Amino acid sequence: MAALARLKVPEEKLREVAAEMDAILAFMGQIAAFEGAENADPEPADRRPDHAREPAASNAFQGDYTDASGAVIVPPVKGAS
Amino acid sequence: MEALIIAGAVRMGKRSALDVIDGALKRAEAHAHLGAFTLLMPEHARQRAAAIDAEVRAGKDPGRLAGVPIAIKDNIAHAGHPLEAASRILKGHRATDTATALARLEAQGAVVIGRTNMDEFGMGSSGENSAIGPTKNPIDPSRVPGGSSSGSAAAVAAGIVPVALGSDTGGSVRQPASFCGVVGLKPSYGRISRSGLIAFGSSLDQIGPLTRSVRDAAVVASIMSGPDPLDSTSLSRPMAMPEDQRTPSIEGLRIGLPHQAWNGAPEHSVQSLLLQSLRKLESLGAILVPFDMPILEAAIPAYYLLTSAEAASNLSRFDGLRYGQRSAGDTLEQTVIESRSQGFGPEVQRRILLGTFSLAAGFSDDLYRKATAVRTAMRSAFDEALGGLDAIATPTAPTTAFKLGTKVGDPMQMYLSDIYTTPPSLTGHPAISVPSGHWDGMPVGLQLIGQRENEAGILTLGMVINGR
Repeated sequence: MAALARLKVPEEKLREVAAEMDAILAFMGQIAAFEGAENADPEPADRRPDHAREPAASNAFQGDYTDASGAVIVPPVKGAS
Repeated sequence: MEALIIAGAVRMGKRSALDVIDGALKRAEAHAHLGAFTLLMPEHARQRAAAIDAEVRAGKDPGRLAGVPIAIKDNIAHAGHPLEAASRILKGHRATDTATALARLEAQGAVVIGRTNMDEFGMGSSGENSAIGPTKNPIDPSRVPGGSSSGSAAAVAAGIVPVALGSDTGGSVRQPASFCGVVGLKPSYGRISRSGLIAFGSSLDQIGPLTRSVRDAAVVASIMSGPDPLDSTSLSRPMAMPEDQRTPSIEGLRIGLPHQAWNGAPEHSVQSLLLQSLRKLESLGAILVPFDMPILEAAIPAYYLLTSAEAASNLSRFDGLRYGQRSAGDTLEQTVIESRSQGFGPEVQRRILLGTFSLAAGFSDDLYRKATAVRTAMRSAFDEALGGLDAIATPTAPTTAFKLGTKVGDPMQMYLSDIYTTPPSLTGHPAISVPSGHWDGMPVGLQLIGQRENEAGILTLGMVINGR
């Protein structure tokens, strides 16, 4: 899930995050058993298969836009004022 | 002081806009300990005020909000100014355009004095999920002001500004209004353009005003309302004002009380206090109608599944490449992952993970699709109930403002703070929180939910409760 969401869950926090998500999903999952919405099912939408895609671009950081704190600043758009 | 009174004095030349703005800026500095603002804009505000004073001297009318100081939530775009949604990932980002809602207020002479603190990207109910630090409640600074429009509620409650803009996806205007003792209006979905509002849950997001009086909320919302070619979901008609703003009559109005919100309330509780307010309305001629609405019990799971799914999609654009700050990685993919992992706070990451899960193959039928079905059924239930009622009343929140730090580590407890505010967000009906007394020294808000696209009814009731 973290890969699909493009997030990194550190190894040492994995157990804690998983337990927290389990608790939240157990609560949210109660909706599956909720009665009273059987006739309100909306039209199904076409969905894409889930997979984490590799980036199409490579070598995107030829300029050095690092600021004093070490964070990389988004470069300005070429030609923009 | 009410916005309309300030504007009247400025328009007639009895008071200078510059004097009004300087007063607001001084109050903001004096209340810096509340953490209500992410940014004060004294230079911009004074320039605007001077221009308004010049217009008055030249015999022109600067507009219905002439010289009124306002504050705006940090997720509303104001061209040339920072737009960070209280997130590390947007640090340094500046807006290129102004939100339609704000542009309409500025066209009527309103003056932005600063940007207000908030739960990051609108995700939170306490004002504690901010990269800037928490906002504190002006009534008791050891308590939260509510969220996510925490700074906007605090700025109005502290008397810094008479009007602040918030955004409401599941109660983010109404719940902090309740916690801080001010008025918070979430208009019908589409009533106010979302153009220039950073998206969280696009099918629920609404900009709304926080004010000290219902009358101010009505005027500000009506100015911001109306169709906008930049938002295809905006409604074709602007918001109608209540017919008689001075002496509204509620004789014969039917107010529904769903059992699920009121039954089982302890004798001494927020609910029991609010029932006293409702009995006052009854003594003025309103008719209280208890009724059953079982689907309300599915609101929290439906809301969190749907908004998290929309948030996972909306926030995918924040990759460290196009906006704000980037964290270095060895490859492009690692750079994106590092930027998002370091840029988003814990609650935002939690919602993105929840949203991604609820949309994943194998789970989406039981979760996302079921939630959309519940939402459709809830919308029908509200329309059906409001066919015979003028409004539905519930508490805005189940408690008063809680102590800072008491719920921030328990997401489920935090989510349950939204139990009464999420239903009209899911269905798109208008809703307002009106201050209705104090419990244990802290303000309590009553939520009134109106018929679809009919804000005037709940505004009239709100004026009777609020007295203005």
